Amino acid sequence: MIQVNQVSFSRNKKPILRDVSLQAEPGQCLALLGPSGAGKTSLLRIIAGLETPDSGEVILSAQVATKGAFAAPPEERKTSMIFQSLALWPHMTVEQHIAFVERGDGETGKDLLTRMKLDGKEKHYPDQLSGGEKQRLAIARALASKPRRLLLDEPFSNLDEILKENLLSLFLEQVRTQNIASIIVTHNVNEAIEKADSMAIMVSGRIKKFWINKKDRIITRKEVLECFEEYRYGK
Amino acid sequence: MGRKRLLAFSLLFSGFVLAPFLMLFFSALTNGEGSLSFENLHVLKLTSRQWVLLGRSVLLGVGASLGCVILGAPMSLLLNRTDVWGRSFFRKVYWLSLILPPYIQAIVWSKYIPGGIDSGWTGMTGLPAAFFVFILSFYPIVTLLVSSGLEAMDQSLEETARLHRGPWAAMRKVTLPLLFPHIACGAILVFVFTIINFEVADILRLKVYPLEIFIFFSAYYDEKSATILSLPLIFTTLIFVWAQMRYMGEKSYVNLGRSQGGGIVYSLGRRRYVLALFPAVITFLALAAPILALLKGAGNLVNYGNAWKGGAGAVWYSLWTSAASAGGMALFSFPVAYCLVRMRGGLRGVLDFLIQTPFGAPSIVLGIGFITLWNQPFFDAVYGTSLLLILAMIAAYSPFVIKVISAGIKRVDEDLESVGRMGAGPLKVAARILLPLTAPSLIAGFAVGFILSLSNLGTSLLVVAPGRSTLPITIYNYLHYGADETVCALSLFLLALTAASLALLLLIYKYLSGRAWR
Repeated sequence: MIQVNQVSFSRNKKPILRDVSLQAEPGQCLALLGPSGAGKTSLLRIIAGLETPDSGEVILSAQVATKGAFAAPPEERKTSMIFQSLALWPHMTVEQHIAFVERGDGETGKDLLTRMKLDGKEKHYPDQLSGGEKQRLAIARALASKPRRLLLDEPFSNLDEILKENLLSLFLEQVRTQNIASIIVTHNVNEAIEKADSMAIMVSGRIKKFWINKKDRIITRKEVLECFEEYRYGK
Repeated sequence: MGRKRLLAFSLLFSGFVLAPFLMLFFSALTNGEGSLSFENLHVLKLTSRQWVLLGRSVLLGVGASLGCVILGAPMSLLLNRTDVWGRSFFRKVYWLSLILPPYIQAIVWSKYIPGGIDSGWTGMTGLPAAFFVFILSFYPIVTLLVSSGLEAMDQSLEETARLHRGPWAAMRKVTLPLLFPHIACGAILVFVFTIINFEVADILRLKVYPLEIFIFFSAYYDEKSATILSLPLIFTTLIFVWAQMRYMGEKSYVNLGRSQGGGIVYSLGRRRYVLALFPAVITFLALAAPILALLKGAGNLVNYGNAWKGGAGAVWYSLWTSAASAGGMALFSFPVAYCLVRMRGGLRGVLDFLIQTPFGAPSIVLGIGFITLWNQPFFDAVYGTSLLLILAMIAAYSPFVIKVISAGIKRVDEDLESVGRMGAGPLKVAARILLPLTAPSLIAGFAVGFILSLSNLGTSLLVVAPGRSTLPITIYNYLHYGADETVCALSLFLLALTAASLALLLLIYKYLSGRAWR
C-alpha cells in the first residue's frame, strides 16, 4: 500500500506540492492526471525516495518511509519506477538489466523475459531493440526486483494506440496478479477512466479530486474535464 | 551560404591547417634538386638513445594520464555527486589552475617553491618531477570532461539504479561505465598534451623525444631530419586522436548552458569535512601554492616596475596577437563546426579527423611547418610579420575552438533553422537565428583560443616576427638569464592578464547565455 499524508514540497523556494494526500491499494492501479507542471512527477519521486519533502509523510506497507528528516533510502523501499525516458542503461544487455535489479526469490529473470516476450533478446543492448521491446524491458526490469509498489511516469506516452493498449494490459495484469500497489501518471483521460481502479486529479500542486475505488460509481469524461476548466487554454 | 559551399570552405580550412605538415613532409622527401628522395628516411632508423627518449616520452604520457584520471575523476564525482564541504567553492575554483601553463608550473615548482623539485626534500627529479608537474597542470581537463559527462547524463539512468541498489553499486555499475568515454577522452587528451610538450622537460632538464626534435632543428639546423624524426610522435598521437574521436562519438566535450537537472547528490555525513581535504589540497598545490610562490619570488614593487619596463612591449604584443588569433579561430571555426554538426555521411568523419590533426603534432613541428610553408618569395607579406604568428595560432588551436562551438550548435534544434528557411535565405537565417542562439559558444570558443594563444610558447618561439617577443617567450628568455624576480613578476602579469580576460569573457558569456536562452 502507498499512503501519502499532507506532503508539501518546494524547489528553489517555488512550491511544487501543497498538502497532498492520497493512497493506492495493493493489486490496484491509481491513475494520476493533471496538466504539465502540476507536480505529478515530483510526487512519484518523493514516494520512490528520490526527493525529500518539506513536510508530510509517506507510508509504505504500514511502515514510515519518509517523515521529517527521516527518509528510507530508495533501494530499501521495494518500489520500482518506470520513467518517461524508460532509463534503459545503454551499456547493459537485456539480461544484465534484469540481473542488476533481480532479487533471489520467486520467478527467475529468464521466466520474466519469456513472459515479456523478450526471450532470445538476452544479449541485445537497448539500441538493438524495437520501441515495444524497450518498453517491455523497462516493465520487466521494474518487476524483476519483486517490487511491492510500482510507479509509472507516463511511460507509454510516445507509443501508438495498439502498442499502448497491449502494454497497459500487460502492466495491469502484473499489478493484479502480483498484488502490487501502483500509480500511473497519464494525460489520457479515457485510459484513466477505463483502466484505473482509483483516480486523482492534480492541479497546481494540489489534489483537486480523488476517486477511491471508482468502480463503485461511473465517472464521466465531462466530470474529469471540468477539473481542468481553468487550464483549457493553458495556464 | 548553402551547405555545399560551407563544406567547400571547411575542406579549404582543413587544407590550410594541414598545409604546413604536408609542406614539411614534401620538403623532407625531396633532395636539393627538388626531386623525390627517400634519403632522409634513414633518420627513422632510431638510435638506441632515441628509442630510450621515445620510450620515456610515452611513459611520461601514460603516467601523467593515469595520474590525472586518479585525481581528476574522483574530484569530479566528489564535487558533482556528493555534499562534500565547500563543494560550491571548489567547483568554482579548481579549474582556474588551467590558466597556469605547464611551463609556469615547472618553473615555479623547480625554482621558487621552498623544498620543491630542485632543492629536493621531495626527492623529485627527472621523470617523477615531470609527472608531478603534468598531473597538476592537466588534471582539471579530466575533471572538466567527467563533469561535463555527469551534467549531460540522463538523471533517470542513475535514479533507476538507486531504486534497486545502494550508492556504491549504482556508481560502479551505472555511473562509471556511462562516464567511461569522458574519462578515456580526458586520459587521451592528457597523454597527447604531455607527449608533445618539450618546454616542461627543458625546464626540468629531462631529456625527452620532442626535445631531440628541437635540438635537430635549432642546434644542427637540420629541419628535414627534425621533420622525419617527428613522424613516430605524430603517428602515435594521431592514433590517440582517432581513439578519442571514437570514444566521444557525438558527445559534447563541454557542456554549454543548463545541465540535465543536477543528478543525485549523495550525503557523506560527517565524512564531508574530511573528504573536503582532497579538493582543498589539490587546489592548493595546483593553484594557490604556485601563485604564492610567484608573489614571494617577485619581491617588492620595484621589481614589478622593472619587469614591466622589460616586458610591457611583450604584454601588449601578446594581447593583440592573441585577440586577433582567437577572433580568427572563432570566425573560421564557426562554419566548420556547423558542417561537422549538421552534415551527414562519411565525409564528416574525414573532415573531423583532418581538422584535428594539428592537435596531435608537437608545437615545434607546427612551427617548423609554418616556417617552411610561408618562407617563400611570394609570401613576403606574411613571413617575418605578426600575421605568421596569428595564422600559426589559428591552425594550432582551431580544433579546440571547433569542439566548443560544435557543442553550442548541437544545442540549437535544427527545426528552428528549417522554420526560418521557409521565409528567409540561408544568410538571413544564420544571422538572425543561428548566430544569436550560438553567440555564447562563440564567446566560449574565443576565450579558449585567446587563453591558449596567450600562453603558447613552443610554436611562438619559432614563428614570432623578428624583433618582437610574446610574454611567454620573454619569461623563457629571462629564465635562462637567471633573472628570478623578473620571471616571477612577468609570470604574474601573464596569469593576471589571463584571469582578467577570462573574467571579462565569462561576464559576456553569461550575459549572452541569458539572452540566448530566455
